[in-house]
Amino acid sequence: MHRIDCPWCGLRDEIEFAYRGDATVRRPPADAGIDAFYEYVYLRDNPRGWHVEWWHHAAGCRQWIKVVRHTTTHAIHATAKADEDMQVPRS
Amino acid sequence: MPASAPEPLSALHGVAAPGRHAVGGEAPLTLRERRPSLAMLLARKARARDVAAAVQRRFGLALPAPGRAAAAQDASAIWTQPDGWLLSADGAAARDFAGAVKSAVGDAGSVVDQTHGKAVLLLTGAPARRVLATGCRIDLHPRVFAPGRSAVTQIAHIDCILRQVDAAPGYELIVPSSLAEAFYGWLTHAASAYGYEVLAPA
Amino acid sequence: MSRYSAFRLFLNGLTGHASWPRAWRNPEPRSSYDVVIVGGGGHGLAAAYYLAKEHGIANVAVVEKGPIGLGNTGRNTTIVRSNYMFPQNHRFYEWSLKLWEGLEQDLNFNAMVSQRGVLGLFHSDGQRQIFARRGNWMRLSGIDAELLDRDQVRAIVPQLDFDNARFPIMGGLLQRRGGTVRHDAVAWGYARAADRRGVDIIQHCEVTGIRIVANRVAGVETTRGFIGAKKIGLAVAGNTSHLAAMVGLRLPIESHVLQAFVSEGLKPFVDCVVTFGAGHFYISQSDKGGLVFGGNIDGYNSYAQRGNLPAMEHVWTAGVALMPALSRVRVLRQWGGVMDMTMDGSPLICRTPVEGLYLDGGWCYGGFKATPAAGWCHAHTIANDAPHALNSHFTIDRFRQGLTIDERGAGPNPWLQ
Repeated sequence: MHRIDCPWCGLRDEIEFAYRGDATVRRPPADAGIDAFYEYVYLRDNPRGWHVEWWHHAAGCRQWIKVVRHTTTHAIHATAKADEDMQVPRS
Repeated sequence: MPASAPEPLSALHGVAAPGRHAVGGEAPLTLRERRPSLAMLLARKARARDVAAAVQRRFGLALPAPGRAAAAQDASAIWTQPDGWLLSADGAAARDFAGAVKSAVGDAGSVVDQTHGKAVLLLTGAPARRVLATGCRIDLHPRVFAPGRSAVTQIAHIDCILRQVDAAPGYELIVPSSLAEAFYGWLTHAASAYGYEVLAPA
Repeated sequence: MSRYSAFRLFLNGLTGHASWPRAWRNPEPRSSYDVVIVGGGGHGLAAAYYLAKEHGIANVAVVEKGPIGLGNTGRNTTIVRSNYMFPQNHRFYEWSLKLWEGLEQDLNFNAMVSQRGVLGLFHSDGQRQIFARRGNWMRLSGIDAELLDRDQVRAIVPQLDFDNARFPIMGGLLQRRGGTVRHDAVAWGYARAADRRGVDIIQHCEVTGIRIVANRVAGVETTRGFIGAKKIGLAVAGNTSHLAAMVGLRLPIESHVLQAFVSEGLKPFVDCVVTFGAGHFYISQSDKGGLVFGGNIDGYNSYAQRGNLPAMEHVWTAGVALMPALSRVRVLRQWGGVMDMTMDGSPLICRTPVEGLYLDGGWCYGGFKATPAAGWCHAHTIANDAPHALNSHFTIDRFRQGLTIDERGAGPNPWLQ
């Protein structure tokens, strides 16, 4: 069971959240062209290791938060509000 | 015109039958439906301070921080999300409560009447914490959760706004009215291990 | 190596089954091969087998980081079917089903192919229309599909709760030729058959890098040294992104975890595969008697091969809602597999931007039933440096071109596919 430390609500169980994928992708400018949008919409690093991702606290404060989570251990390194930058641990 | 307006129907009308239930002599747990007026208040962008000042002026109520609830003479509030609160009022103040909140905050906030959108239950008594623990994932130990604390969470898969009202302990449980009957079924099933008394709505 | 037969079984029985020969060799890797297949699961072994059988390319190695067949081949729920709506999908899976039907004779291996039927349930008039449409599309391509009403479903699986308040059962779409196959035996059968045609199966040999010279593959770096290769095929299930990253390739894939469960052994109770899509639950019964069941992916990126409690609760709740008798059943085992979820729910069997590097991956949670056709198409693509008509649309480039094959209509949200 993931226990996610919501920056607003504190430690909550995974069931209160909806997963929303990789939080490092950035929407390109509207005139960036097909290739930039292809990469943005479809291509992912899909790392085996630390992953910065969106979780939506759907059954709590309804805020989107960022979580740095490890994709093989499920350990959570840090959580932050949506507009904060997240550092990924080295290892 | 009838002599008096019909009593508004609660989502728990005919469901929460007053009386003692399950085992036990002196029922240590009480369950009471409350029928306050409810209003959801969301501050518009960058207007949270204006909203707080307006609510303070009109109701003498300081809007609470995340995870907290606050109460004043005529109204109380639970933090539900950043710059968002669920306000409630009883008695005379309950009349057109959402309208009163809206007229107080003006264009600084958006107000939605939730009086009929939610059902409110008050669970009081020594075993209340253990009853809730069978479906609630919030740690309600007094060390971390005390009167004045609140949480927006899920209990038994149903969205629930939870507020501790006293140290008895007593908890106010606010659930969507369309799921109130299902929630009541879960709650009374959980409480039946201890015995409980349902009091008439207040 | 001798053929398996009832007579040989009898003969070996006389000596206590102590003198069976090895089913496949355990060779040292040679310095180079015409083709190296990375991944010794069903898909990789099938690709090697069909390279040798269909294309006369037997100078092939299958390299596998552990023992064969212990990735997703050993972790699935063994269902085979071709009941897809889109022709790009159902023609491919129908070819797979045809290969399953002839598999045991072809491989001389008992894979316990059991065409016990796959039944998908519907619960409303709207859903009936969707199932009828899917069935009609299948029948137009010559694939069997039968739309059953409530009583016909009841005759097959009377133990369902037909009057569930939320999802009353109104009928189902039945594919009688669908069913189950013994998953381990698929890996073993392909391994033995490929080995007999000269393929080297090299276990405990993990690929750590792919050597490229002038945008063309030269071979694989492994924990057992460098192995040269003119062509390389990747068939690595949950690790596709990881291997693609070795050549600087980003893919339209997220890896997720899907759980499955097996109960204690019971007397025959569930005769066919029953799919309760609306509740995210499906179930069948293995020949040993265990109920094999599962639901949806947990819904977050994971390479952990284990899931979490919320998804278990969801699956079990749905199972009991469908089949109330399950509330008395004890679960014996539970596990998770890594699913390479693509952005449209359909797979990749294609060339890559690197010359000589080919890809078989992105199977979401449906790779097992594809095993024979995926190996067959992958082998065709490698041998001819061009896809077969059956897999010509399963390219990476379809996403850039706007030609996604999104059967579910979930869009580029892998956790919803």
